[in-house]
Amino acid sequence: MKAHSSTSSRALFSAIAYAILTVWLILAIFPFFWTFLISIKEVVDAFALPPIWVFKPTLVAYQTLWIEEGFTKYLINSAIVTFGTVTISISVGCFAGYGLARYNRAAGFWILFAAFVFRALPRLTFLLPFYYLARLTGLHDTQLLLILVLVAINQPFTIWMLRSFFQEIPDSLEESAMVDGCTRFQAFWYVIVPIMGPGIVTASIFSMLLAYNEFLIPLTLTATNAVTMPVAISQFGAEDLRYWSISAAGAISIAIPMVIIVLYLQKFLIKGLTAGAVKG
Amino acid sequence: MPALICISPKLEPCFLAKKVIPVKPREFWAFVSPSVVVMTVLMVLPLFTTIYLSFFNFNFGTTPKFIGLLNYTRILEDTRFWQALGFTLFYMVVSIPIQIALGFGLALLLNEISGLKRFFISIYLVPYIVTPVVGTLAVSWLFKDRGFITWLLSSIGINIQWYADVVAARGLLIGYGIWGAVPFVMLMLYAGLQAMPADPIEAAIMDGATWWQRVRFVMMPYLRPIFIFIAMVNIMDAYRLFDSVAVMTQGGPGNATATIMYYTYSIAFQEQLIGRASASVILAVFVIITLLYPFLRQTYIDIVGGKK
Repeated sequence: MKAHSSTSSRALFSAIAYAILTVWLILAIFPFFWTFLISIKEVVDAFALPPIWVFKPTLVAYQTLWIEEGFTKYLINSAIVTFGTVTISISVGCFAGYGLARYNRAAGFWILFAAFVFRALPRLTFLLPFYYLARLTGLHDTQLLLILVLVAINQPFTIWMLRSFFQEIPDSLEESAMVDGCTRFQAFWYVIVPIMGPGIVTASIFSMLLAYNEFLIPLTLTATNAVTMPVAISQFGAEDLRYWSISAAGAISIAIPMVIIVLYLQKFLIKGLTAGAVKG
Repeated sequence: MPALICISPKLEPCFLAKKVIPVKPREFWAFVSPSVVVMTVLMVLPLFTTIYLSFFNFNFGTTPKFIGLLNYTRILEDTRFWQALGFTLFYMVVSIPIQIALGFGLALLLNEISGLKRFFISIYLVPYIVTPVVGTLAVSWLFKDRGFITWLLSSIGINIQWYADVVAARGLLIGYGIWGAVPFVMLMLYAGLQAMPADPIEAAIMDGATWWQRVRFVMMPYLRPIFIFIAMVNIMDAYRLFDSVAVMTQGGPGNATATIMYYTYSIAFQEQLIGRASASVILAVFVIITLLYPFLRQTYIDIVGGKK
């Protein structure tokens, strides 16, 4: 094809590209923008038709949510569960990920393959017995139970991802440490883990998103005490218009911390996504 | 396929003079045992418990009574099960190709532009990061009877009751699923395009290939492993669709938008029939394993066969 037509057709192509990307940008963000508007409008204005664009913002819905509805309790539950899940699944996963990255015999492959199959199974496969056993043992409706189940659900994905990061680190690093007299564990702990920082951050982000966003597990395994934010918000009065503003305030409150943290750590998230593709 | 991003050039010289010290089996098991114990106790045992419970008539407060395959026949006779399975498969067949096509289109465009990439990516990430329940609520409000989009459509003469009409409710769920999955597809493919070596594309340009020919015959073959990976993840995710159904439509109108997971959930927690729900889950597991069989086989070959 002719190369000289490039400048003007390139500019046109680029303009079209920006236009389409902008359309999707609006689609991606508009529902959240609208929810935000609902949350800072008076209830009468929030669902007025045609929509009211000029209004005096109010924080009444947020006040109701956090003070009268006691949303803080759910925030604390979500925070405990997320923190617990990330800490345990990443520490357990790091050991396994390292072992699996370095060991080349059948057992390692079978563990990876089994983990992969378990990753494919629906959550309810594991949840039904948990529900039953938790009620027998009194663990039902505790944060501990949620953490345990989330760690398990998350483990296959975590070990696959951490394994792929450990594989990037050449064996020769811990080998030279071992030649110098370190044990395998010392070499792992003092040589390999310190340079795994970015990989650990990446795996932690995915773990954090999973635990923070999970709905089905806390929905089935909690009642009042350990309810997390997504479950709490889904149960606000659905039909009463007054509650929609409060739900909207809840939705925005849930979204903001995660969006800030993850966008700040964006490059790690993207690194994790691409690491996933490698093993596809 | 070589690792797309796993190349660390700075560390490369390390393998010059190396004497491999293999990990001993004892060491290996020490490293993996915490994880293996967690997965065995919290996944393998529950799976077998579910299989076991599926042969019992069992609710809370009653003693389990062995009933053989009765739970399975009850499920297979239940039209709601077939409707739910049908809708789940329909959802997958319709939404996954659109997710991949849209995501790939956006990734190609992102790859072409020069400025504002990071800005676009940041905003595109938002629906992917935000809690699904929150995303579902945000979208569902727009389509309520007093919602913005319902109003917008009615002002140009299109009146749709999104939650009362079967086709509209299904369309809404599928649309929401596409909206939520596109960021993942786009980012994966965009990262793949970024990691792609320039030579083959330049060679194609020299040979006079049009933009579309380059996409079709150079980029798409290169991205094939990523496409396969995305398809697999999207199948898994679509199959366990629950959150948006529970929050947006509660399976309605009637049973039109109940997915297989939503159906099983209602049997377990609304009808309190744990045994029967277990049978439903086990049937669902058979279906997903069948659907994923080609991917499982490929993974098996990659990890067990490929590395030896």
